[in-house]
Amino acid sequence: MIGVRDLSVRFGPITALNGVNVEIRPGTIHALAGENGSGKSTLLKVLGGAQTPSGGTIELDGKPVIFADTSQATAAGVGLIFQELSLFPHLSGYSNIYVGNEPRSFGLMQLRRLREDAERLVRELGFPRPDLERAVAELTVAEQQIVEILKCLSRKPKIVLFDEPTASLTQREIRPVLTNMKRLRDQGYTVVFVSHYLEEVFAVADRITVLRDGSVTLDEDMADVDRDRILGAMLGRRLTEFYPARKAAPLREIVLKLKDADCSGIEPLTLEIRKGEILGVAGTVGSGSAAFGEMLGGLRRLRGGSMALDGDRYAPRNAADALRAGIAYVPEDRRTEALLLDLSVASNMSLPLVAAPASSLVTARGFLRLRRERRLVEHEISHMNVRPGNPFLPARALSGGNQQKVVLGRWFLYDRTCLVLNNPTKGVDVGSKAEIYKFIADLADSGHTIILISNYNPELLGTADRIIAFREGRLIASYDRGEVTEDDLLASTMGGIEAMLVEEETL
Amino acid sequence: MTTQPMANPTSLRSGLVALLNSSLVAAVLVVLIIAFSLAAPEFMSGSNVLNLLQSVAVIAVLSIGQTFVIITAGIDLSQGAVIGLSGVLGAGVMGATGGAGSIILGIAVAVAVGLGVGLVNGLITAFTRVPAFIVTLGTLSIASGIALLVTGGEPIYQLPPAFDSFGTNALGVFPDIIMVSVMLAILGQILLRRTRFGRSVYAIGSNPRAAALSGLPVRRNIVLVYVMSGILSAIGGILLTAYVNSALPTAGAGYELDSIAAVVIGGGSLFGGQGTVWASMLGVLLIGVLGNGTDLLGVSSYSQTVILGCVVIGAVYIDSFRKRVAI
Repeated sequence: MIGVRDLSVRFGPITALNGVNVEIRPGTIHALAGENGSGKSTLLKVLGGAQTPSGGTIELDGKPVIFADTSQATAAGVGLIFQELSLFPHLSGYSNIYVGNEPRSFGLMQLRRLREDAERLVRELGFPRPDLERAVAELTVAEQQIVEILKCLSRKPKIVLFDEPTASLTQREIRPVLTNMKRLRDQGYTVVFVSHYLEEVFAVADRITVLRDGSVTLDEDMADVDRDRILGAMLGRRLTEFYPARKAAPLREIVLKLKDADCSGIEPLTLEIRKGEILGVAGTVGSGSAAFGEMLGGLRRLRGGSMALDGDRYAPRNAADALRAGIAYVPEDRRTEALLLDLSVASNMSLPLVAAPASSLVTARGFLRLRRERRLVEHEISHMNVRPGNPFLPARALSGGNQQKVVLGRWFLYDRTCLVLNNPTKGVDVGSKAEIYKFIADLADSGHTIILISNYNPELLGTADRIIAFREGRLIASYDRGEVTEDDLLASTMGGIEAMLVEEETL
Repeated sequence: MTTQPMANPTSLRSGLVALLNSSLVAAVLVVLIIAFSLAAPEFMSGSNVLNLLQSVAVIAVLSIGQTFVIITAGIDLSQGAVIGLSGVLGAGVMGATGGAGSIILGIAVAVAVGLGVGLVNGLITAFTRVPAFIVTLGTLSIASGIALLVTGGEPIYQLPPAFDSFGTNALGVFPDIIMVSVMLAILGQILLRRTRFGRSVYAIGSNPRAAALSGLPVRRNIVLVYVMSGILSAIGGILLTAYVNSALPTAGAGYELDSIAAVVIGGGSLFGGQGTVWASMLGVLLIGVLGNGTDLLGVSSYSQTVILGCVVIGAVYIDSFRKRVAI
């Protein structure tokens, strides 16, 4: 049993945690939820010894403890699994599990014992067994997470802390992780995890603590709360409309016409997309939904069939071609594909417009109109509500939600008729998510065509005018708004047998 | 409501930003200048200042190109070899043809050599997976080998008199060689901060994938950056030949290390996306002041090399604490 008593953490003038009291019962899964900056991760780090508190105490089985670092926490039976996996990519699974803690005799590692110990651990937990001989870089992210869990468990903790275990995973990868957390609880471990996603909290947690601005705003058994109360506690207000209402309906005019179009990763498909439409694209990773978006964005070559944009033949060879024709592709991974992390918010926002032919920010001789750039960017920062609103701050300094607003702001500055958004709310806090949905609806209302690719079905159901679903590279279904339930969508994207398995697991 | 701006706020702001960005190097530079003037009174004499500036003019020209290359997260190790090759070929052509047009022809040949080597560097770096370090290490070896093959290792002394005097001649107060490098530095800074090409260079260095998805021609710009570095190295070769009145196939050996040091001292990051021509010029001046000042104090050139090494590491170490204003 862990008791958190009147815990405070301050970073200079900033209070991250303010007088927090929480009880964590043994043998339960305890979720910590809250928006970015609410203090949930800080609380977890204090529990795991990665952050020393400024005031208050932690009690472990009734005894007050202060962990100076994670190794003291490990010794006391508390294991912390960080959000970014901290494995050595070139070492095998075995070596990673016991790194720094190898069974030794006379200073030599006992490789056979190391292997046996690891095998026993896997057997005891009933985990799906990843190939521990291979370098972990060759494993899937879900398998890597199992290695990380085994590494933590090899130090024999009683309490396992997960910091946003699913933040970097796709929906298909999330399920085994949640199952693993349940297995741990059923083996008698106490599990504490931080999460952005209410769905997974409802799927596994026994109890939830919600933080806002460093204080506890809700602390209840899951049986006693509903989604609205949790969201209300996270945001400090009740969410009447999380998904914005559309002001305009899609127009009749067809913008994009695909006829037997295919590329690597998808089979030929025929489709018409209308002006002002939000077209949701559902599908798990590898289903073809992302390949479809990349084909539209000029990142995958059209292999056969044809595409037409506004009646003209459309066959882009790269992103620049697609942009010129009027289609912008916004990639899934902000940090590695969209942002210039060390450059300013201003340079980030204006980049596509600066790169555009006949740009309003560039003179005929190639000189930048810096003053106009500054004015446009400042206007866009306030329109997108980017915080902090300093255009000179490097993009690296912003939170995930604000970074995504900078990325979306680009396409308000450089107006393209059609936007392909690949998982635009992934890793974004709840508050920014609602804002992003509103910007998407605004764009569609003003006559833009939005192709919203998402692995997160609820947001498709909440925002899209029409949803198409991909499975194994094929377009398998198309539903108009209100015509489909979450279960139907899951069933069509996952396929019959898989969907049944999922239902069993979540029961 | 209308407001009448008194001055151009953008240029004022970016000027301040640039100054802040390089303020630590600038401060160290000022401290060194004061210290050397106190320790060696002749340090501030007109002839010594000119001497100092002349001694770093070639490095300054190289550093402009190196700044662009390093901002794209690349590196150009072939600069010194290009100096040697363009110098001997340019001088060879001047000596062989003679007459009024010989200087222009020689310069054209030298620039063509720089352009050629830069094009090879750029094409291989942009279109293959061979890292710039390896590509330019290779062309370093190739260019310096060709320079030695062509000359048999012998220096070329036969130069037109008008070209000879260029290195030391004065246009107004400053010798031509200084004027050329200052002008190129100003053009370089304008190109980097005020044009679409310059902005692309930062974007590509910061995240090539994001740059491509924003519609920038990434490969073309990478090629251009190496071509620029090659041409500037050739100009460096011409200046050096004029300055020392002869062309030696090995004249530029090691110059690339000075230009890299200057860029890095000025805050350029080898990971790309950071650096300015101004800051690199401060790095060049720091190297020049250190060398000249320690010379006057009678420090051996061997010790100077040791000191420069310490300064490079120290500059990057201090730089890691600096809070930057992003471009």
